Amino acid sequence: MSTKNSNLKTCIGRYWVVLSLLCLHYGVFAQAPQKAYISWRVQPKVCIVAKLGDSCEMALLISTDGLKPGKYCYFKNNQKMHCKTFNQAEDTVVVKFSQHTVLELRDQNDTILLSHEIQIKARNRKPQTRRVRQPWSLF
Amino acid sequence: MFIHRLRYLLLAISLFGSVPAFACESGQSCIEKGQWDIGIAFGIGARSNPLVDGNTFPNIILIDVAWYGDQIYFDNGELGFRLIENQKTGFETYLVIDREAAYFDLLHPGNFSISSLISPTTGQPIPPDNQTLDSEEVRLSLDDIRDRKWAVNLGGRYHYYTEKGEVSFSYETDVSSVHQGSKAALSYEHYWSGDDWQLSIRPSVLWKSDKLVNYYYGVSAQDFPDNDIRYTAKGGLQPSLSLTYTKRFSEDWYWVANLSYQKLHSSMVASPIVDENNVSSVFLGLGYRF
Repeated sequence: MSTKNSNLKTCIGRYWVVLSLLCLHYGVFAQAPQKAYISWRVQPKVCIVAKLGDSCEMALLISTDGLKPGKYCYFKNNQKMHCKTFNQAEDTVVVKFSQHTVLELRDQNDTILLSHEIQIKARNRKPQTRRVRQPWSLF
Repeated sequence: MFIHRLRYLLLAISLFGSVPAFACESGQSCIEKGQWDIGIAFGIGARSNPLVDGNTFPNIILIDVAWYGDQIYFDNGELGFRLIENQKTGFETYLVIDREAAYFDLLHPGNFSISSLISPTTGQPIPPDNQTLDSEEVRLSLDDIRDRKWAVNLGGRYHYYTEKGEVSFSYETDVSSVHQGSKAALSYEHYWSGDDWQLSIRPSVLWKSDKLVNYYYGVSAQDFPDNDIRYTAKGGLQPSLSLTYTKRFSEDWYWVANLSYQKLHSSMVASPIVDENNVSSVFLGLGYRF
């Protein structure tokens, strides 16, 4: 009986050591970087316009998950829109655009935390084509 | 001659067949097929005239008219047929009125005067009395010479599109038997665009043949049947740079700004009817699209 107990303790001890090493390896006890755990949901994703080239202005509803409270900045196609302090998971941002646009959320170190593409689509079904000459050109 | 060259055009059309469907990307100069796109801009600006006594043209109204079908198109005075159109390349043939005559038709100088003869360094001047002439005095007004006719050119243009621009090469030849000359242009256009604005820059090099340049800027016996004044103008290269900026501020209204500069080649500048070595243009105004 005592031999059995001794073997059981030895086995548990070995598993405990292996388990501890695995935990250390995968960083369970370490502080994980924020970027790996946050996500967001942006709605709507598509803006419909009458014809290609028309501009679209809409309010985007943004829901974040895992974003720490702090100051972050919105970027639209690599151009800074505005910065704000996030205290809650939801936010609304008004965006005006006339072509496919990439909306980004960056931290104070200019690190891109979240990125989302907003598409623009023409309502009419008539096909578009590319002009062979530049409009409004004088030469 | 015209019919003969049209045969080549029709042959080329039959060889290439149809154009595959291609969707124009947002940010490019797109137009809806089968619908007229008409724009008119009012503003201030001017375009210089390189001819002797040539008045600067006031750029008050700018018109932009285009219609595109599946293959046939009309774009600001150019009637064309698209043979290739895909994501990366394009090729079309077209008929277009040569703009070279614009300097001549829009000018109506009141006085008839012949200052003197021409520069001894270019062309084949025949100075009277074998005297050396001051080239500054060798200037002929438009009324001194015969009318220059409008020519119709048959051309072909190739496009290679990049992400934010395009390279194009075109070649045109006179099919109206006016001057029987030709010209070619190599240009690169790069553009930057935002949600409601676009800025494009286009450096180009234009080549004009001897026949074309000599018809418009040479001085021959037809100009002076009873005089010995002659000048033979040669072809050459003319670099140019154009900047265009448009900004939309409502559904149909735009700001339109255009700056252009074209350097003329030496043999054209040396012509007794030419007074400037460049053609420059500026326009700033409001544009409306119907």
